[in-house]
Amino acid sequence: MDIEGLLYRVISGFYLITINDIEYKIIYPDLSIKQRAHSLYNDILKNNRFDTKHWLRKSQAEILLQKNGIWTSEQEEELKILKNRLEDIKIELYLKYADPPLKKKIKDSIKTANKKINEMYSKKNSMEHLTLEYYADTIKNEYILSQTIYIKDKLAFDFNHSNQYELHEVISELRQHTISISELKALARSELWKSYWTASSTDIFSPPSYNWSDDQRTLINLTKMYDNIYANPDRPENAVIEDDDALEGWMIFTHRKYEKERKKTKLMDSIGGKYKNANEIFIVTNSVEEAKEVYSLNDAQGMAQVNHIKQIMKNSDEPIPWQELPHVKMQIEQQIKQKNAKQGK
Amino acid sequence: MGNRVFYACHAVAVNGAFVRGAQSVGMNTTFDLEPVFQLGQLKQIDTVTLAPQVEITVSRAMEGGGTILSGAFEDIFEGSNNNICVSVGDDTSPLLQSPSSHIYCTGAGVTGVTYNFPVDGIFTEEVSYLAYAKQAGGCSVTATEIQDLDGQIVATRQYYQGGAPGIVTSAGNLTNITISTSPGREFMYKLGEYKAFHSYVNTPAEVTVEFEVTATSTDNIGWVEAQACAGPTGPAFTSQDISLSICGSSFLMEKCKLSNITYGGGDTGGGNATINFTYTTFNSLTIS
Repeated sequence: MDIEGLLYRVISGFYLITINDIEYKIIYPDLSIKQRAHSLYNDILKNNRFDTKHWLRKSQAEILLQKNGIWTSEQEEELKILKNRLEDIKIELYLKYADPPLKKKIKDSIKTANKKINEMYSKKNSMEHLTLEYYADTIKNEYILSQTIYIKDKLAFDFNHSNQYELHEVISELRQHTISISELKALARSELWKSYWTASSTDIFSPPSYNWSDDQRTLINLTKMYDNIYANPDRPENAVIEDDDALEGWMIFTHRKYEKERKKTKLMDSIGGKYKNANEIFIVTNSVEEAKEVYSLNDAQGMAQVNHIKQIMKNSDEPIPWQELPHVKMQIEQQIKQKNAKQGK
Repeated sequence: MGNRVFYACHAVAVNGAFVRGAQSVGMNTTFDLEPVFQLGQLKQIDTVTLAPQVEITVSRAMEGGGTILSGAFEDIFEGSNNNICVSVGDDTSPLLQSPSSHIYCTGAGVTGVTYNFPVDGIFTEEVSYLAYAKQAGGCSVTATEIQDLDGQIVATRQYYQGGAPGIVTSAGNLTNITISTSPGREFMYKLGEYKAFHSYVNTPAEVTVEFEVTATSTDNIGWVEAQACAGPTGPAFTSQDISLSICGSSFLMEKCKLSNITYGGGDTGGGNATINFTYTTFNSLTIS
C-alpha cells in the first residue's frame, strides 16, 4: 500500500490520474457542489413523483421482491442473524488472536460470512437499479464528479452538454481509484500521518471543517478513534489494533460489555436499588422482548445456570434440592476452596 | 456481587396464592460452610454445611387495594412455614400458563416488610422472607390475567386517604410515607434433625414510619426544661397511634413516638425545603 501517496492525496485534496494519455486532476468537491447535487437529487424525485409508468419507487421494489419471494421478511431476519453472527466471529477473532492456526480458521469464517452477506445484499438490492431513487442518486454522483474533474485547470466536462460516454468512462476509471476504508485505517495508523497529526492535529486541513473532503473527515475520525483506543487502559495489543477485523471484534466486545453493565445498572436502579445482596433476581416481564432483554443481562455462566435448571426440570418431574444441582455443588466447592485459602493464610 | 443471575419471571406465589402486581423477586442463597481440620494435616478433614438458608424479597405494586400480609404484628411474623414459588416460562406466551421451571422455597418466615407511598410513583409493598429450604421444582404457579378495567387499579398518590400526625401535616404538604420494619429471624435447630424445626423473629422489632413533606413552615417542634417529677411535654413527647388509610388497606402503628426530624433542601439552587419526620414504635404493625 502506497501510504505516502495516499497521505498526500488526502492532505492536498486532489489527485491526478491519466486515462487514454490525458491527465485528469480530480479535486474533492466542496460543500456548494454537494449542496447543488443534493438539490438535483430532490428535483428528480419531485419531477418524477407521479411517473409510475417509467419508475418504480424503492418501497414498491421492496413489495415486488417480497411478492415474488426474492427478498422476504424471513430473509431479512436471516441477514440480521448473519450480521450478528459475523460480529460474534470477529469477537472470537479478537479473543483467540494469540492462537495462529485458530486465527486463520476464524479469518476464513469471516471471509465466508462477508461473502454470504454481500450475496444477500445483492439479492435485496436486485431491483434497486430500476428505482427512481437509484436514478436520482446516479445523476447526483455524476454531477459531483463532473464538477470535480479538471484538465489543465479547466472543468473537463459540462454536465449538461458533455458526451456522457466519455464521462462514464472516466467515472468508471475513477471508481478503481477510490480510497477504501481499510486503506484510510492503515493511513490513520501510519507513522507518517501520526507525525503530521501530533504536530498540528485537526489544523492540518484548512478550516472550516464542513469543507473537508469525505476522506479528510474520515481520516480525522479514524485517527481520533485510534487515539481513544490507545488511551484506553484495557486496550488490546498492537497486533490486534493493526488488524481491522480483530479490532472491530474488540470494539464490539467492549461495547457489548459496557452495554450489559449499563442495562444492569439501569435495571437495578429501576427496582429501587434493592437486592444488593441477592444472587438471583427474578424480574417480572410481560413480553418475549422484555424477557430476552432480562436474560441478556446474564454472563455466560449465569445463562448456563438458567438453561441448566430448565433442562433438569424438563427431564425430571421430581423436585431437586438446591444444593444437589450441579452448578450449586460447584459454587459450594469454590466457596470451600476460598475459605480454605483464607484459613491457610 | 459476581455471578448474579437474572431470570425473566412471569409469576410468583406466596403460600400457593398468585401475587398480583408482582414486580421483582430477589433471592440470596447462602450455605454456612464450616471446614474442620485436625492437627498434623494441612487439608481439612471435612467441610460441613451447617445452615443453608435463602433470603427472598418479593416486591409488588399495591394493586387492587390488597396486601400480601395482613393482621397484627404477631400474625405477620408468627408463621415460619410459608412457601414461595417462582415460575419461569419459555417466554413465548404473553401470559404465563405453562411455566417450564420453578424455584420453590419452603419453611419461610417474614423477616421484614416495607410499604412505600411516594408522591410520584406507584405504592409498593416489599416483603422479605428467610427460608430454610430451596429446591428446583416441586411447585408451579400460573399467572392470573388482570383484565384491563375502566378504572385505575394500582394505587398512586390520590389513594392516600389520611392518617398522618398533625405535626406532620401542619409543617407542609405530604410527599412520601414509608413504613418499615426488619426484625430478622433466627432458625432453631434440635438434635436429631438437620433442618430447622422453627424460626423466630427477633424482638423487640423496631417499626419506623417516615413522613416527608415539602415545607410550608418550620417543624414547630420545641421543648423546654421538664418540670420536677415529670417528663417533657408537648406533641413531640407524647406517643400516639398512627393509622394510615390507603384505599382498600389500613396500617396501624400504636404508641409511636417522634424520633427524628430532618430539615433539608431549600438551597440557593431553587430546591424545595423538605422536612422528614420519623416516628418509631416497637412490635406494633397491624395491616387490615
